[in-house]
Amino acid sequence: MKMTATADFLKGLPCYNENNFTRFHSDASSKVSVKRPSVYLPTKEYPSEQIIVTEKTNILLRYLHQQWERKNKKRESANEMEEGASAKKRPRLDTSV
Amino acid sequence: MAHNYVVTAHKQTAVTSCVTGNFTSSNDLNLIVAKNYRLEIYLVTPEGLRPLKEVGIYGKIAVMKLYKSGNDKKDSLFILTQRYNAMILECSGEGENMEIITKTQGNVADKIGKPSETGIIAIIDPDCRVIGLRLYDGLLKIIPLEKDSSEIKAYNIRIEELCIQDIAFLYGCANPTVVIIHQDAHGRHVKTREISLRDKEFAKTSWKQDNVETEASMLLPVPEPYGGALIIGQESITYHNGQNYVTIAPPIIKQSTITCYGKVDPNGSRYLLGDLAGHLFMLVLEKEEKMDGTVTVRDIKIELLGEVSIPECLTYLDNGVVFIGSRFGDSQLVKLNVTPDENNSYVTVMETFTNLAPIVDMTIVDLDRQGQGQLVTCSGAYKEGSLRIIRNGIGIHEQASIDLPGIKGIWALKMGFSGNQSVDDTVVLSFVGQTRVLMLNGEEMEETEIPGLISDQQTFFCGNVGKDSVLQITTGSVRLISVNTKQKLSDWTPPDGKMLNVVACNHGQVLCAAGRDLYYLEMEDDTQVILKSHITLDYEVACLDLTPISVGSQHNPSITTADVCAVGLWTDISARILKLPTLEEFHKEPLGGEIIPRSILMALFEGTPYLLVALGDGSLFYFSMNPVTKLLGDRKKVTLGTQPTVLRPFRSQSTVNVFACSDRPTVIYSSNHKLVFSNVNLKEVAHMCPLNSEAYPDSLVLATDTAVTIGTIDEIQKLHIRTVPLGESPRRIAYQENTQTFGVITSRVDIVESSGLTPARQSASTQAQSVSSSSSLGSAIKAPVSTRDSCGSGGVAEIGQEIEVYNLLIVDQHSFAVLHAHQFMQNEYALSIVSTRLGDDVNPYYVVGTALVVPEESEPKQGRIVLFQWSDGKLTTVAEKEVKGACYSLVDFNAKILAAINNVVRLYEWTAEKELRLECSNFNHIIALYLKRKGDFILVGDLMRSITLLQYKTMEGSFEEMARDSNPNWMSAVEILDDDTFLGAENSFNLFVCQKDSAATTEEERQQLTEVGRFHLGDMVNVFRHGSLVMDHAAETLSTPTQGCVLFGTVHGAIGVVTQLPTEFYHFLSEVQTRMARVIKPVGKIEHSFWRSFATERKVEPCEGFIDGDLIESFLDLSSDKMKEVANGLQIDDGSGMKREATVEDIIKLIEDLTRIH
Repeated sequence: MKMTATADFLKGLPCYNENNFTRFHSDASSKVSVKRPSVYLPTKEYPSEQIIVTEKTNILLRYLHQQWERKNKKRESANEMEEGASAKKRPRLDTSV
Repeated sequence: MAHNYVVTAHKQTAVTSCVTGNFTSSNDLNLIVAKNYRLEIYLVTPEGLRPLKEVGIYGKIAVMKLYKSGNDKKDSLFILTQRYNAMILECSGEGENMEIITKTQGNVADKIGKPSETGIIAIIDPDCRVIGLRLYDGLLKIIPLEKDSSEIKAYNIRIEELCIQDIAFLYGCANPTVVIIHQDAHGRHVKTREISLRDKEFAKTSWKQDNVETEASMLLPVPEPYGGALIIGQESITYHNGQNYVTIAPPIIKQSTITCYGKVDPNGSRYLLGDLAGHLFMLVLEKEEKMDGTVTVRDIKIELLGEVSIPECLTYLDNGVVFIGSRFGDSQLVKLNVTPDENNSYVTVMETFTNLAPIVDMTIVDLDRQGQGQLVTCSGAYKEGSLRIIRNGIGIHEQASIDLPGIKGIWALKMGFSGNQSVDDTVVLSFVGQTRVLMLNGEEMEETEIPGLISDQQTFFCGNVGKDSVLQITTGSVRLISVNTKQKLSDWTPPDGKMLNVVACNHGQVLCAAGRDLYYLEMEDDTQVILKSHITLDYEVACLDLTPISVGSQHNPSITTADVCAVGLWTDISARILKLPTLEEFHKEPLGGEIIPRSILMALFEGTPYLLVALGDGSLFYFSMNPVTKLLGDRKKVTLGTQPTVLRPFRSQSTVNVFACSDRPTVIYSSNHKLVFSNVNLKEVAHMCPLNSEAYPDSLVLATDTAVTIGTIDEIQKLHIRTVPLGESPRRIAYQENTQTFGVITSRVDIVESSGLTPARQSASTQAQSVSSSSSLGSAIKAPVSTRDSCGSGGVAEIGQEIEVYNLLIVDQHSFAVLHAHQFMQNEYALSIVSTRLGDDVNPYYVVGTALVVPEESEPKQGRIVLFQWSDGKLTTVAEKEVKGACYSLVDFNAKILAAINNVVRLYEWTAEKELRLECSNFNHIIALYLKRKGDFILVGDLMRSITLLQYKTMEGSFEEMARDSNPNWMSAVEILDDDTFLGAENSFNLFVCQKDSAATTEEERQQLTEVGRFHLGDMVNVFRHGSLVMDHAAETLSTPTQGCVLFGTVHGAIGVVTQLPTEFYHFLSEVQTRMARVIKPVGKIEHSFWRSFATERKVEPCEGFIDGDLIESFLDLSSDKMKEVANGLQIDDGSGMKREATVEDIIKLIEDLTRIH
């Protein structure tokens, strides 16, 4: 039973091109491959389209900047709120009771 | 002299990484294999793997990944090198026009940061938004994958978890999300972190799992619809996706450690896993569909498929075929079968790829006594351990031999004796004044007569022509004989009773010469030969050829006719090309000199026609021949032997090769469109013909002065590697000429069981013809650990624990059979071996140095030096000496023994009482690991204090420290180049050369070794040995003045050569190197000077005093206009001391000669 279970494991293995490896035959005597790819010698210049550079900013500085900006933003929005609120606020006229 | 030339003789073979995808085109399925700093690109075809290109990278490849971004049909290749050069490569064009284009590149190193101990990890987001790099502890570097911008800004984000075991990107996340295994004081934990690309920070942790298995080491992200990740541990496998998790702890994975995986199905429901024992597993995720249509993982199943080479990486290709990349053994192409074989394995090996790595030790021996070294390496480890015999040149394997002196020519015929007309069954032998015929009857040969053949004259040619005729040319006539009736059909005799002395023939054309007269004949109707033309040449004919060489003739030589013939002449020493049938001369090539041409041959190598002319002094001219005009060009000369040479064509694996018969027989073939001259392991061959008979298929008949041999020939390639599997790790090797044996130290893994130690598997030491063992009972020292039982079961070791057991194997030099295995004591590690004679004793001994290893000790405190004698099939322990530490190295020293023991170098003498007695010692080392000697000088390689030079003072009987290198190099191998120059290899993959300055004015300066050479090899050297893989004579005949030759073997399985150059030549090559570095545009745009700069963790210094032979020799593969670009304006010394402009031909000649030193 175990054997059939494993065999199921191996059923329906992916196939991208059904012909691949179908005509494979190695010498019965030696399975050692001696084929070697030829060496690629690039002599044509292709300008690199993209260059990776590392951001120079120090991690801590970036963090502090972010915090500062965040705080600033908060304060600004808070200020805005305050200002806006104050602008829209109308003095209570009926202060006197 | 401090000018060195370093070149690879055998490229590295250990596979470090492999990937599959559509790289060369959207329709191509490619396998890309990384071998240290080279990539090999293969195409998956119906016939199997087809090699496409090898691509060199100027950096050790740390990570290689293929990915398909967005709507791309083709994969891009991401590579990161050990020195932090990142690149994204794409492929364009096909076949020979294939170009690798570096789309993106840059160095991603940080100035500060502690490189992670778990190595470089690079991961690519499944949606290709970012690449993540874990280079330094505490940081994750993010490379955003933006296609359109010309600059990509990579940035670091802080990662709280310092000790990260593995990291991966999860599938199906709105923002790139990593999952990590990290370790802290409490154990290992798994955690996910979402990356906020806008804030360049980690955002939230969507799920985590504390305290997973303590040995959990690998993460496999699972694609959707499951999502989540598999966590692979030593004993268990867990699937987790935040909501649910499944854990299994199958016993079959406990035996070893799973180290690599390959995804089988694109949806991630099956994975292949490989472990350190070479087990291949299939892991299956069993799914469960929920009511709402979602699927989850219900269970994990794992099954053992079978055993493969110990995998470093593996990848599923197509139709059940998997590539297994290995560092410790041969890589493999395997097929997975649905039904198991008789061994219950579902795996069949289809193809293996030879791997020498790691080369742990090696020795150079001349087993054939041909004046040519063979290398025997200790290669591989664990079950893949083997000895490899590496030989340059081509081997002939003798099948049959008969004594027959005085042979002047041999030819094989198809006479149809056996009724089979398609195989050779007859050999015609020519002698002075007579011709004899041998009939092949199975493996037997018997003399016979063919009525139609002339037997009382010397034959110049005999062969099958036309449909069923045989042509024989003797001194007096050209005659045709019928294969069917064996009777003469017709003949032609030269006019005026002239005697023929030189002839040539193909399937339908005949040329014969009598002195200055040249006759051209053609066959007609298969029954007669007709004289077509005749001329009288200026001088007597020395040699002739009319092999058809029009393109296409290589496929069917029998139907093509030659339209030109080649003639070599006496007196004016020239080669001429004549038109057929008119015999009109249209090209004349004076050869110069006074040596007459003895053999001339036209041959088509890889589609290119060549003319070869061999002279009477063993030298050979070769020309390329224009396929249309048949004019000669590119004249070159090589020296093959010292005697007249006869050139004979033969076919091997359907390609044309030429056998040059001489006192140094050579096979000439073409590789990569260059002619290669490969020597043959025979002393002398006078004549040769190919033979393809029933009993001797695809063979050669070779005649020497005294005998005829039938043999088969190795596959035509430069280096031949023979494997002797051991099944356990070979550590050290020594050769003993007297006993014709090798002494090999091996280690195998035994498992502690209640009954004692049991080998984990059968291997060389368990299957030896006889065995013995060292027992601590009779030994001078007591094994410190196994106190309860002196020589057997581990008193302390736990049951089930794996223990290394060391053996000395005595291996026969011819059969490589293990004649004897001597097992050392438990916990005794054999570390060094040397074969030597000692004192006045005439017996050769194997001397082995050992250490008793106790886990609690920081370094061994005890060890032994043991002397063994192998004689009459018995191994005897002659003497042993207790030493206070590990004996890392042993060297024979004027009939004494020099040993490196922990931090001390000691000299032992051999007394008349057959005892080793300490003579003197030198301290002042951290750990002395390597020793080399030359005369009275001793070079010591230290663990971390570079190299030290000692001198033995004979009079005082003591060591004196002469000089030392004060750089903190961690050594991996050392060698003495000459009295003043020393070569070292260190553990950051660099080579360096130090020089002693004896003429320095101050004592202090004299005691300093000056570093004069530095080179980044990119591979770790384990062993240096003086010696060469090519024939001794080869160097004499070369124009390049190299001096000395040191071979090295590396961790990645490369064999290299270091040789020394004179200053003048060094500067010339240095200029060529600079120009080559400009002409070759490196893949990934890493500068050659950066690649070869000496780099350690502490410093980077420019390369100096070394020429990169690999770069120099790639000149020969350049196109002619690029060669011109390199040569342009280069000054060369033509030997007279005057400088002139170098031509492309000058440089080709020089570099071709350089390639012949390896």
